[in-house]
Amino acid sequence: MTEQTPDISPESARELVQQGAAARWGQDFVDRNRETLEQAAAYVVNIANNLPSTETEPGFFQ
Amino acid sequence: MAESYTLSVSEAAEHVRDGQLSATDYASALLDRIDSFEPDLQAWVTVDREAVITEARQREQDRERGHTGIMQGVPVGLKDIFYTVGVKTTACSRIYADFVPTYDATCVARLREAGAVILGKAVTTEFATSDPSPSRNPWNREHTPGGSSSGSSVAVASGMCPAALGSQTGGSTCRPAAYNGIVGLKPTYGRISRYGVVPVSWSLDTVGILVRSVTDAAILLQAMAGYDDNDPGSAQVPVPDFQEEMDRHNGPPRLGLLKTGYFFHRSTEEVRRHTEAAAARLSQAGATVVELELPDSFATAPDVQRIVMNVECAAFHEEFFRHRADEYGPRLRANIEMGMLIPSVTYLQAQRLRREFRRDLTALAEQVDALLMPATPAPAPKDLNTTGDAAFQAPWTSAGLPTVVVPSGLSTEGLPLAVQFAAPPFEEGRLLGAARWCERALGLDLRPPDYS
Repeated sequence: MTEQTPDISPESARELVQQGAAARWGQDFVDRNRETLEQAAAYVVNIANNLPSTETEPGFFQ
Repeated sequence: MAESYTLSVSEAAEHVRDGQLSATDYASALLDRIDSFEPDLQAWVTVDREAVITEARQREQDRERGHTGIMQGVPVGLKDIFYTVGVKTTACSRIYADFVPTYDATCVARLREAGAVILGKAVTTEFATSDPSPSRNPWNREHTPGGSSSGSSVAVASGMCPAALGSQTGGSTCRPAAYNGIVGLKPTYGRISRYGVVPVSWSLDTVGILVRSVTDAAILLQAMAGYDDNDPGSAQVPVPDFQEEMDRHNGPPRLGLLKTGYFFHRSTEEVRRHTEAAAARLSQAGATVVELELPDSFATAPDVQRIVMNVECAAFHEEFFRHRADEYGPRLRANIEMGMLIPSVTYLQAQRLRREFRRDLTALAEQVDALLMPATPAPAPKDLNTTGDAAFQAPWTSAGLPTVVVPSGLSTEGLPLAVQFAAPPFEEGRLLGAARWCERALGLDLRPPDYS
């Protein structure tokens, strides 16, 4: 959908979310909440890979 | 006159205004129904009989002095997230268990100004999110009534009140309306003030209306719509006479059936066939039904809605959650935690996608009088550990477009099925006009047999 897709892979999104969770609530939280974290990472990837193109939203880039 | 619990809002208000129906007798009859059905259905948090009768008596005195409104003497239930002066507003949570507001929500104040009597506070899922409430579906108590406006929907469906307020952040008004066989209206974002309404997500939250007919939805909308300086999301747009607008759109409508892709792919075979049959029936009655396709931007709409809802919900609850996380239900807790972990850039990009999506959906809706689709992928699930699937509401809530759900039949299991209509922003008159025409063409008046 976009020429401006940021470089976010599922792995890097998972790492980003897990690091955030570990820093906030500890590794135990990460181990107990894999499903929630996977879902959050999936959201991050889906949004990053489907951003509006410069044609549909030119004002954003000015 | 028919039994008072069967009266519509418009009929009841008219009978109260012309003196055929006493507001106190009417309120008292509904309070008796609540006493009878509440043990089965668990729709209410707070009902103060004495306060209700006092307010009903006040409405009679107002009438005697010549002051009447469009909802004169009509009892209304409120989801327990609407502030009511001097009456507990718990959001069915441990956090707000003892909270007593010192003022009415703007929409509650406007209902009272229109002559309504506040009947009580109806059960919601905790903080209007997704942990199921104890309310039961009057069509079959083993099936969920949906949520989050569960008590409000159950109360209207079982004739405990002719109207109730709900709210919608994902699918919390129109989904339970569909599951309970009643009419649900989610107006345009910003049409009704949320001042004094416990928030889930400020850029999504919309006050919803639960009633038994499209005409009644228009009456409540008329009573509450309009700009409010106290709500930053309130829209400064003119409020039309919705009845007049409906009358202008009273002819056979042009309907855009969303048959391909998302809505039909996610539906059960029974719901697909039922929606096609409803469209065919409307077409035979004179409507023009054209098939329309969803824009590409629809693909991310469900995820965008979840991201925005979870992040904003986390922001609202952050302070409580820091000290009292253990007092939250498991699903709400998981949603808040997820919201805290979504990167800020992702949240902002989701808001960008919403703008694109709203523009595309508005353009789609402008091609017809109303878009037509199934209201839910399936009838109310036989599972009290869920509030069902909000997939057919969340995209419209995210885009801010108005939608209305109208009952369209019963499933093979005897549960309500419904269709959903959508229109461009601030075109509720056109939406309700088309929906009322379809409601009449479908010719249904669903009432749960055990509570009729």
